[in-house]
Amino acid sequence: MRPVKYLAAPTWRDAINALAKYPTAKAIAGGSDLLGWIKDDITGAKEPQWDILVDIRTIKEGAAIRFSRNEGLRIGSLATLTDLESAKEVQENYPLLASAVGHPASPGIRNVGTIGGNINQRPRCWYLRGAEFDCYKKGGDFCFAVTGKNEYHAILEGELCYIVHPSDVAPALLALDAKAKILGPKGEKTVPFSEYFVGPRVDVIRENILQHDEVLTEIQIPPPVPSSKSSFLKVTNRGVYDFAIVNIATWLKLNNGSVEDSRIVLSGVAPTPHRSTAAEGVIKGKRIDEALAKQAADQALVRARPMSDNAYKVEIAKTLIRRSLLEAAGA
Amino acid sequence: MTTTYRSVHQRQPRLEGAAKVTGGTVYTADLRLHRMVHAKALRAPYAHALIKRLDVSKARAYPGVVGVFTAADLPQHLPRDGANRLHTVLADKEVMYYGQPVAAVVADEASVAEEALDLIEVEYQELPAVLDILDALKQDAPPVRHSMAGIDRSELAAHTTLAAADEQTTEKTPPNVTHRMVWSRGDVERAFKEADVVVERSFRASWTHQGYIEPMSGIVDCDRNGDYTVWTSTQGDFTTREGLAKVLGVPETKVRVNFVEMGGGFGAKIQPFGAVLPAIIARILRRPVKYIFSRSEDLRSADPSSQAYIETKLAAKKDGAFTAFKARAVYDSGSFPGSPLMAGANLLGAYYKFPNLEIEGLEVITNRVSQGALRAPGTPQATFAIESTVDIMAKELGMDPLELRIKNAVTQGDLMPNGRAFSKIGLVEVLQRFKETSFWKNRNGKPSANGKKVGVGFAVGGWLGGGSPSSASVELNADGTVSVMVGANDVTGTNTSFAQIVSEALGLPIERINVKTGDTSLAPYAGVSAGSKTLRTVGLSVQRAAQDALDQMFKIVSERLECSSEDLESVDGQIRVKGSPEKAITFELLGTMSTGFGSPTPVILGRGNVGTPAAAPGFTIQGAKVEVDPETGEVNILDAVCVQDVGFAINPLSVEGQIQGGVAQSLGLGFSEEMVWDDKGVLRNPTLLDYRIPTALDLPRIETALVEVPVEGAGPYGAKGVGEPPIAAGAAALVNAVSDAVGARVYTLPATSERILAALGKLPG
Amino acid sequence: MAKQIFRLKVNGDNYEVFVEPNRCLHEVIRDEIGLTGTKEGCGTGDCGACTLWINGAPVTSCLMLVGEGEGAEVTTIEGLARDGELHPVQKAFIQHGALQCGFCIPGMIMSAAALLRDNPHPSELEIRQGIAGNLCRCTGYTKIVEAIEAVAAGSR
Repeated sequence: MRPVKYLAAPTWRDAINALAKYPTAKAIAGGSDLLGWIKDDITGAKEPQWDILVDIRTIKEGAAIRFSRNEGLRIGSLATLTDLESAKEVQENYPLLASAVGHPASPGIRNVGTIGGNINQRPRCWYLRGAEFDCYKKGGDFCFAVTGKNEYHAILEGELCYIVHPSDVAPALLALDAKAKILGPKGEKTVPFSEYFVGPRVDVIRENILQHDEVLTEIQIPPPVPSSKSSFLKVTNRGVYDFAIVNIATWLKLNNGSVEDSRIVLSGVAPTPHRSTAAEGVIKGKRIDEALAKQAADQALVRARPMSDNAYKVEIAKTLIRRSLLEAAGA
Repeated sequence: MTTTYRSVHQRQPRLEGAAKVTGGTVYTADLRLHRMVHAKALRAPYAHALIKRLDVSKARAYPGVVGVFTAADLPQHLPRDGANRLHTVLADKEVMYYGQPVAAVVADEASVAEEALDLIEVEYQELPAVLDILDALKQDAPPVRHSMAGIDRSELAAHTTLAAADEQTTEKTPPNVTHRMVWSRGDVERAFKEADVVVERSFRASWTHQGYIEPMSGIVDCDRNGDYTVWTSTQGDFTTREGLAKVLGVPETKVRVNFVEMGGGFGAKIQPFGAVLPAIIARILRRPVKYIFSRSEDLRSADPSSQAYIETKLAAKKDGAFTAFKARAVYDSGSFPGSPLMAGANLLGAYYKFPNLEIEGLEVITNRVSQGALRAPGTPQATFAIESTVDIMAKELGMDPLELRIKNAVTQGDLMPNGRAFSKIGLVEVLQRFKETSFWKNRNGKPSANGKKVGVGFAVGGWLGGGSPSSASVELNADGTVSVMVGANDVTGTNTSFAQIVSEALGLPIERINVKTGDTSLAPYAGVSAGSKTLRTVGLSVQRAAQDALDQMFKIVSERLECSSEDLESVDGQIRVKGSPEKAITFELLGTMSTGFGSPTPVILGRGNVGTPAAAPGFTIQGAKVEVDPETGEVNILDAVCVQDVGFAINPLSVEGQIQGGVAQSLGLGFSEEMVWDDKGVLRNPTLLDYRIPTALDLPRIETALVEVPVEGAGPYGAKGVGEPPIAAGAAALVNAVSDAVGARVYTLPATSERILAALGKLPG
Repeated sequence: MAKQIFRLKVNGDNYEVFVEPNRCLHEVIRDEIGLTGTKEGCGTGDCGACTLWINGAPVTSCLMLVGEGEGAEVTTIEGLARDGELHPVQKAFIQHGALQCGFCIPGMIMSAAALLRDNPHPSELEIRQGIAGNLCRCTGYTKIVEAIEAVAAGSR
């Protein structure tokens, strides 16, 4: 592993100051993504060598989980996935989130991996993560997946770069209409997660709106909505460790059995968590049954453009949408 | 009559278990020596290229760097033409595979060596790479490597002790075909014409990795006398000595390999790939050199297992009797010849009686890292092909697939494709025993639900078993304990089993026996721990050494007690006159007598040494019950079983454990494991995240059933090899189960979601 | 690269180590403190051989910098046996033949012991979930699961 300096930040403010001061500094929490990244020596014209690591886990209040009926859930971005999975207030009020945080990686990684880290982790594309490939994301001018091995790449919204968003937690947050609290030199701001992720169309280098000297400090989830239902599903090759081939977080608000509102979000299919407004449009105002769920699933993938090796993902995504709708609706 | 045993045939926990469960067991990477330096290799980023320029001056100048080495710095006696992988320590002018070492940096700290790698400047000229196994067969394919002169084929011979009708490659042979052989008997074409049913298919099995959890590693020191001391993760201390002596050009007496525990090898650690580079550098620096592969290096450039392409054609009569089998097997050896083609091609046609048979085998080279052994090398690939074909045939005939197998199964005297006849084997016994397993009884237990489909499949597997000469010593100590020394590397508990054998032979409690693997300057010779042969070969030597020691003790006791040796027995640590237990001499007394100052009694030192024992092929049937999601292609393995003929289970606890491990690997080959190279020959999944070894959540409880058809002289008490047969058939069984579940068949291993969905016709194109 | 002083508490003992800050926790515990029971199988958190406890929670220490171990109670495989007595999980692993090459075993036992501490009577699925991050290539996990079940049954 290449040399790094290590700074422990006692407060968020210290962390931001350090990031602002050093262009090659990076915040580190659980480190399970970032250290792998550094060990793999991933660099390029637009991908600096991170050589100063600012430890933010030393920030005492950063891992707090608070819940109130009026304000909903406030999750410090440094809360570990295990903290969240075992938190009563999460299990009781947000089963969708409780399910999603139990899926990433392995138990040993969830014990240190934070929710902030899961949201902000870099894509797992095996070209991006291969030192030999100077791809768009590192400042190069090619996506090697287009002509290469692309069984784990995007089927939707790919453009220039065909990564898929790797997070299990992010689609759940979008489905729950969560917001990100971001702290930077100019102060604090709150941004809905629907505006948090950035695809290659906007900026091929990054995956979210965080600037170099900004940190995600808190995740805010609105109070649980009465008569809402949800489902989280994930398809992988193995029972642990694997990133999603496709995952889906579905949230429905039912009114007399009909869908009043919904959010259907998939990862593993597009460069950002993919909210399927197409599927949502199909089910709005209707009762979910097998036929409608299938129709929504087909509609959701109309714009899919699979590459040479990943057409199977289209099938899997359709299946998950259909099952997820039926499971959430209890149909 | 059933013999009762006191020590063997008992479930004996590992004698050195406490060290293993407390972290006390020492592996190579745990060792540190004074003045030790660390080596790191720069690895080629191309599958095929010429090295136009190599400048290491900046790396040499980097603070903390002790030395930088390229092919030009290596000893002059080493061949430079890449004839032999072991001798091709660093690429010289031509890079033949992605990840090939091009230069090595040695520094006081491993991290410094790694940093200095970045300062080495290499200019490559990329050459066309040959990667697909069928492309490699083409006459007009670009050559995988510059020179094929002087290619060393000893590896090929080592894989199998079989003779083959070996057709030498000729000028007409395509440039990347390195071996072609044909076995035939009868008239297959006529049999196909006369058959009631003919099934013809083709199969592919992917490159896979042994997946040992401890990466390749080695530490080598060289002193001013030119004596080498080696600690390395290896399956064979003596083969390491042999390999290093050859590469270094020194006598074997100059190389001392210490036994250190190995964190898994499964065939990959037969050749001393972890020790050659540090040995050569240690000679130059006269300092201990430590060389530990990163996981990524290990996946990129160790010695994984061949991909294969196999065509089969099987003919049968209406009653199920097989009449002909024809096959063409192509094994990809990577950039150096030495694939398990012959072992695989032989077993391809060895499970069943085929009156007419024709098997053509071809080995090709490609621009990939060269292959190594993986547990029953070549066999899972071949078994997948034949056992899928047999399942299809059962369906075509409308016959029960198990009865079809029983009907055609080979027995003693039947011919293998290579023309040799089987000795006493237990395949039919294994197939019969299968019907008594819980697996079989519960095969219809779980109905398909929630749109998922449950299916049951099984497959026959086998391995002929390797062999080699071996030796052992058994010595009585002053306090009446017994020290056993062997030269065999213990991986799966062989030293515990040896203690059982000695305990049984001497009538001495196992607690008073200590078995150690000695270093190569002291230990009696043993071959590499591979080929499912350690227990049966070295075990025979141990048994003889114990008997020799006992004979020596009987002689002393008979003189003392003035009786005949025939009247003596050894029970519970004393040698006594049969029928008169009060007339006895304890091991303690014998120990004192044979070691005491001024004592006339000679030291009790038993010696056992044997040549390669009789062959003892081991057969299995493996079953898998799977739940397949036909909409996502996901496979959930519900049950797994392996019935295996082990001859005689010296230690059923370790026999079961080894079988379960083999089954787990075979299922991994079936559903998840695959090395993926891109179109440029760059490995895309050099991590244990993307190279998917099954986890505890992916496997069921694995049932084992031991069948014992002992073969006299094959091993102690008739024991056969255990380690390899259980990897042969699991992948085939799993694919047969998937087919039973969803009615569609996968023809390429592993059976991933994508391949299952494709087989179901759910994907475009 | 400048070395820094880090303070670690491992198996109840306090250590001051003077190392480069890019060293991972398992490396420092192995190379500086000399406790080599914690293994490196991959260095990227994909195999679990480096599993140890941070404040009682099993983690893959190859993905932690040494600095991240400061202020925590670190427990390694060497700290599991107490007063010369093997932990029940360690005994069961020997008795049930749950080990072969042994390389994954320290990490595996750290996961298993934490599981049984938090859930003394786990189901087979819970056991498999508890050790899911620890790859074993020799045993096929069957005897490992049996060993853990035996400990659970023994404490009933």
